[in-house]
Amino acid sequence: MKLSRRQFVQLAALGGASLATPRLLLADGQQENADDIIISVFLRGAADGLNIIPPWGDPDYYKLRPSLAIPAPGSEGGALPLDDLFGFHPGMENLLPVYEAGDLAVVHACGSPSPSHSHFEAQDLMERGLESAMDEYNGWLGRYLDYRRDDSFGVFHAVAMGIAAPRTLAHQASTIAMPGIEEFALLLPEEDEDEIRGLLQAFYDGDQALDLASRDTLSAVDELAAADPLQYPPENGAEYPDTEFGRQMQAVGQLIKADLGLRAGALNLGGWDTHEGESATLNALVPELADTLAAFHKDMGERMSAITLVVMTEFGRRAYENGSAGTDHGHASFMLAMGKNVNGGKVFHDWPGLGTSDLYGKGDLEVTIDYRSVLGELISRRTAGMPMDQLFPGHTDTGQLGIFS
Amino acid sequence: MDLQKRSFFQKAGALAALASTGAGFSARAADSRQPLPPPDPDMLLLSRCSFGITGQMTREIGRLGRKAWLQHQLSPDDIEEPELEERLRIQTPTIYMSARELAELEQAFQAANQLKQATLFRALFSRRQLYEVMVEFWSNHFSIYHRDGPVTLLKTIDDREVIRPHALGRFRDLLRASSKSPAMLLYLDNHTNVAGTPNENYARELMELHTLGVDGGYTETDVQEVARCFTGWAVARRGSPDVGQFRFYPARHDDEAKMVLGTYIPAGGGIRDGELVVDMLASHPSTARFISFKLARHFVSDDPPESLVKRMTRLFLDTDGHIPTLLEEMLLSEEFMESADLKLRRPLNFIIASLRVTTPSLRRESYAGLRNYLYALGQIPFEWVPPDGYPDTAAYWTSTNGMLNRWNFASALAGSRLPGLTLDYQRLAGEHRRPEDIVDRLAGILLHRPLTDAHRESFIDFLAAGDEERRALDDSQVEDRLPGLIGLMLSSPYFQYR
Repeated sequence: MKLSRRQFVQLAALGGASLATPRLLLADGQQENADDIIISVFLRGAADGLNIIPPWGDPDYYKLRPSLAIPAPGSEGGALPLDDLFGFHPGMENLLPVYEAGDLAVVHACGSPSPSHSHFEAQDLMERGLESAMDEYNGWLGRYLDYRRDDSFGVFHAVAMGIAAPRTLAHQASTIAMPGIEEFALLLPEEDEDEIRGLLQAFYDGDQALDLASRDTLSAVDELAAADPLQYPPENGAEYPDTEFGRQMQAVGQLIKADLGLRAGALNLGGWDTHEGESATLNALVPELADTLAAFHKDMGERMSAITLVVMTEFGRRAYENGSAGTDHGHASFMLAMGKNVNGGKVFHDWPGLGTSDLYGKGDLEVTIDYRSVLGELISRRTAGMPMDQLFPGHTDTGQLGIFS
Repeated sequence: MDLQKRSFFQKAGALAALASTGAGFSARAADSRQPLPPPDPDMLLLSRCSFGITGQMTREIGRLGRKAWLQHQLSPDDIEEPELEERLRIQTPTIYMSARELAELEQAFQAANQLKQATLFRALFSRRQLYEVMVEFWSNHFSIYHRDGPVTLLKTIDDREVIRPHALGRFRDLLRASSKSPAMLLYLDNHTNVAGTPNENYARELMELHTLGVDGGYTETDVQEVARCFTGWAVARRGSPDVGQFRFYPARHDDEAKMVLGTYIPAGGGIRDGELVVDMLASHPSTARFISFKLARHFVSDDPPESLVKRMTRLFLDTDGHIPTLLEEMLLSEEFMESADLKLRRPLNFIIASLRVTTPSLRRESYAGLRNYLYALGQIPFEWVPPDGYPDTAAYWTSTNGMLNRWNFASALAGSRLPGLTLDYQRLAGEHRRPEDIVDRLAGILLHRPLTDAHRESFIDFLAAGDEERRALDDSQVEDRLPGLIGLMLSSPYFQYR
């Protein structure tokens, strides 16, 4: 839907500030903000770090997974070596150049110290950035936004691609949730449109989340129509997979190109709960993830020096396979960090091993790097920073991993 | 429109626009209530127990009173509706098929589509409204994703033989039926749960999601032991005469002794291992609390009062999980009466209620448009992928995408712009022609609750369309202006809560 000229003028007169981009607004002496745009990709269902980033150099891996393990590099369907211990799942071929260029780092045996093996509890805790349930509604990225917010924040400062906004981004303002750019339009009959919009503004004039979401919906629809992000095709020959996740990642790129003031974004890719028939599932999902990230990296080009993307999952999977050619719920998994200021081309790890006495609980890979240490470093190095005890209450270990420069 | 009012709205709009674009961040004030006048207790009960209030329902409750109306709804077998079932037999025949007949369907998606259609149809037209609300509740509690291989066919059986027979029965019977539901066993991978290399998926979700709750007191060892108890619980395959039916395979069962939640289960139990676990879980105090909490969260408040949950938990334990007893206690409680506007309508309820209050003529092709909006809003029956069911709190559903699609749907429905749906504006206006009378009549039909004076005036001004004298409308003005007014009412906060 296009804005009529009159609507545009009216809008510019009313909320003018929001139409211009935050960076352009800073002419009055303020410094241009130096925070990276942070994109969080959550793999829902507990993605198997042991088969996505297989530790092919650890002989115990093959003992625990006689039928499921990814073969060593050089064999058919073998891992793509990253170093002499780890490799990529063969479906990550297209992401290898990004790793080799130093723009992608892998973190292994990484995750939450929470012992929960429940998807829903573990996702919730990870998104809130907590080890155990505490009375904290907001997400970790949301707390960052609340800490950093200033007048430059527009309605598009936080965007979730999807039906609803994930907890990761929950904060004191509302997050724009949209499954896609094209669908995000208000479809009212022209003759009534102005009046109905005015009345909706008036009806939702309270301070509840419903009011806030309603008013932000009206603003966002107009800003989006004015900025017209769909005009930006993928650059540098990038090709996004024609999947929901591929399209949503492309849309994030378009929002960035349209300079709508995005500060943080969140996307989901689900389907990782591989209790059964794991190989077939990963053979489909891993390339979707890898190809999408590779396309985004290519499409964004030099913009990646001001964007950092992180990939996480609620927990990993049992180190040994089950009788259904799958794996049950485990503990540690992996993370990815992508951007020009990532010290990439490296697997960051403190490998706990897969021997019987090395395993955690019922036979899980142990967590040796807390995911909050990774995200904490991201916030402290790639933004103007914030006190770590506010970002991750209760988490004191903010050891310098050196993942971000 | 009155000029002064018009500029008031523009000003209000401008302020709101500024507030929402960052200049004046409003704090998230979860506790402060929308200052809307609450509905009266009868209407609150009707609204929470249905997919939208109809004139027939208001007459019934007026005649019977709350308690008798509720008891009537709690005995759905006394409410016969052969004409509804007859229509379903013609329009959605697969919902009556056996597993064997379903397995012979040429296109499995027919079964999935028809079950969805029948679910919407019943929510829309059944007079057993509370029963349909409970069917939806249990379909989410025992959530099964519809697009998972043979589950596409077998959810039809789960709906007909697990959820519907027990939706207003005893929790124990429902749980027993669900534990042998082929669709559930396939969805949670129990068909490949075999001795020696167990698959924990069903065992974990049985305790976490179906009974005890995540804090219900079970351990990781319990998960493993319960998984062993359910080894060999599977589904007969294609080619066998009982295809698609529950089958216990003794050879795949781990028949050694187990220890579950501190109870010793001796070796040699066979299928009784799993049955024993189901019975233990059905009467466990953690289950009583978890189910009571979820019911109260569905019907009373996202954050239900502890006093109420406690009483329901005790009743659950005293009545062996008799669902109607719990519902009656809850729905006639003081806590319930004070819960106006504490439950946001979820998308399915919003869409169905919009239809029930506007009563459009409905042709068969209307289904596609409704389905598209349910997808856009994110709540189509049986399509939530993980096993925890569609979220039941406002925090999830309050989003820009949600508001946008609610408004777009309301406008399209009110304007008869959805395929196969036409509103009768003359009938909706009734005898009335003066703007204020039409607004009062429509607020009664659509919203079932009092308006603030200011909001009422806004609606009247909108309908009068600039005529300061608010003269009576003629028939063509009714046709022209009612779509906007109806869309606005359904888009307003008055219609977002149930």
